[in-house]
Amino acid sequence: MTALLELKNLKTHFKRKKVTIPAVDGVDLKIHKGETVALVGESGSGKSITSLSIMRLIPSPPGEIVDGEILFNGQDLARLSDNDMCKIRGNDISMIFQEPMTSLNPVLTIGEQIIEVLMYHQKLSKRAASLKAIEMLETVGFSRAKELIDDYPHRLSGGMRQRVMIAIAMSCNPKLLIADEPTTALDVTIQAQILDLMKELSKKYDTSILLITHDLGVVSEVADRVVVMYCGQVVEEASVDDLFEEPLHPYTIGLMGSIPSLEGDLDRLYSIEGTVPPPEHFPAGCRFSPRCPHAFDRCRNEAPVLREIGSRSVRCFLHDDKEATK
Amino acid sequence: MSQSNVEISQEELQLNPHLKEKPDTLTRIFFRKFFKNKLAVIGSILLFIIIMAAVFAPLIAPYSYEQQNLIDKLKPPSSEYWLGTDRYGRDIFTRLLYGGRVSLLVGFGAVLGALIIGVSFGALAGYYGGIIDAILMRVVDIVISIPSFFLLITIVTIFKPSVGNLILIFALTSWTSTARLVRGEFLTLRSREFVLASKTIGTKSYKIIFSHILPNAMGPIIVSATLLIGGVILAEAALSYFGLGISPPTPTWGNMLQDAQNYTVMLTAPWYPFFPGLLILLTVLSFNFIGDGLRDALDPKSLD
Repeated sequence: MTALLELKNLKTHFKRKKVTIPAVDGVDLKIHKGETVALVGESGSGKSITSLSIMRLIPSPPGEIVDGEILFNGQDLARLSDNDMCKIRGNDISMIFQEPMTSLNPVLTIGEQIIEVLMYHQKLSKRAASLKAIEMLETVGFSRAKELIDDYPHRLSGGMRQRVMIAIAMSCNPKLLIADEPTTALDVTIQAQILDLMKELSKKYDTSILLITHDLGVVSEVADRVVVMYCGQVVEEASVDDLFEEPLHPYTIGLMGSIPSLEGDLDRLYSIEGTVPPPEHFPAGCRFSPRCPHAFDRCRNEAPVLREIGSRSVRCFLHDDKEATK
Repeated sequence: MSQSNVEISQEELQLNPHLKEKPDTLTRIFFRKFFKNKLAVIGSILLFIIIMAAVFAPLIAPYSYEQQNLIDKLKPPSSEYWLGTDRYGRDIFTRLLYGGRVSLLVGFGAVLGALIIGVSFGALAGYYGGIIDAILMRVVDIVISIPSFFLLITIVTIFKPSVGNLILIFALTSWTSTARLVRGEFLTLRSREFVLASKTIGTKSYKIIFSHILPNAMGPIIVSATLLIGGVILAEAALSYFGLGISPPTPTWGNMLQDAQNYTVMLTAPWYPFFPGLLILLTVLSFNFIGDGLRDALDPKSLD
């Protein structure tokens, strides 16, 4: 199966006064057609920068994709001209954001914002575009779409705005939808609606989804595969079932352990010791070693590589032997 | 969405806010806030009358603005000459009407020009930042550092002052404040999430600048423009007063004032300088009131 999107050794660095900050440091990632891949990790692990790199929207300067390939349908996005990239954004790859309250332009009507995309990418006439816009709004579950078209964003609630964002993002039937923490700012009942909607649309249009989140509950709900990132690197990659059944990397185990559970009456929630080190102070060797309960000497001196174990992969010395037994 | 409840009165609305099922569009909020400001409303009405009078001057004016009647010079206001006559027996009312045309035309024209230059400079500098910002803003600094009134006097003495030239000169000297303002707005707006969101759907830079960010910055721009018009009208009057503006026989409020500046006129016909002065005052004041009203009405932070 060929991948729809494949990141090969992607490195996005930020240069700040001679100091180089490797926000994304050699990420490999594959997304197949119709698949939902979740990208998880703590704040500062490089999830969002990875997604912005795919869109080529890294603020530059200071950011820059210094190495690696972003193969989308066999085309390397990292080497595409800005003009060609504009044609891909919104048409083949689109994106929704965490903050639905601020991602819609307050002075343009909902209709204008959808119609603009359709007219630009699909070369539709204004009439045809507005019909299609109404259709899209109905698809994302608005019953009075015709009236909504002339409304301004400030009249909508957060959940409604996120659905409008999804309608805009899906209006050109993109092959890949990048969702950057799409449910974080919404309350729980609305979260479920939005996730269901995304699942339904991805099935309907055969769209792959790259879901960026730190909510493992969301991950188990919608994802097919999970990629765990830490300090700009992928530390573990596995199918949802494998990962939740048996997380391999100590960091993943830590993340899983941090999920508050209703069973048992713990007084304190578990948390991983320490914090994500700032990129300019990444430790030598394994980047997780200072916080890892299982770290041994080798971890502090030598950097582990991402090693395939069956259908999954992990970046940890603890599982070096597993490859042989496979 | 445009059915029903258009006829709900303002009183009923205040008694029961739930009556308005009609959505609060931005325009409605704007008008509600604007009409609460009495000075702004008075200013708008006054300005409307002044503009209409200037536009329809040929229809309203009882005389021609250059028709001299030396027997009737410096007559006080009467039923024959509503606001009296000047040193050559020309009807002051007529000349005020025509004078308004020049003042307002110069005001609006110059501010339009200033807006075009200022908005382009500010938008480019604010949106792109970095080196482009540095270069454009240094140009602004240079223009600001030249005392504009003396520059005006110099340019006007070199070129023949016509309406077109005046507009051009005022536009070229007054765009800097707009540029700074627009740059500031763009600096904050460009990092807002909806700008990133519109980039992700493939919108090109020029479209983001003009159809996404600029409408958001329109409030402050409109406010500063109204205030600027007042300033330009005042500056035009000042130039004319120094005899450097539009040359007589074409009347402007400024050169009428200048014409009235001598002892005999001041002592025998004090109404002659009074009326053009009053009109300048009223016009500039109206613009400032409207500017203030717009500032409040367009500011999303002050709700009601």
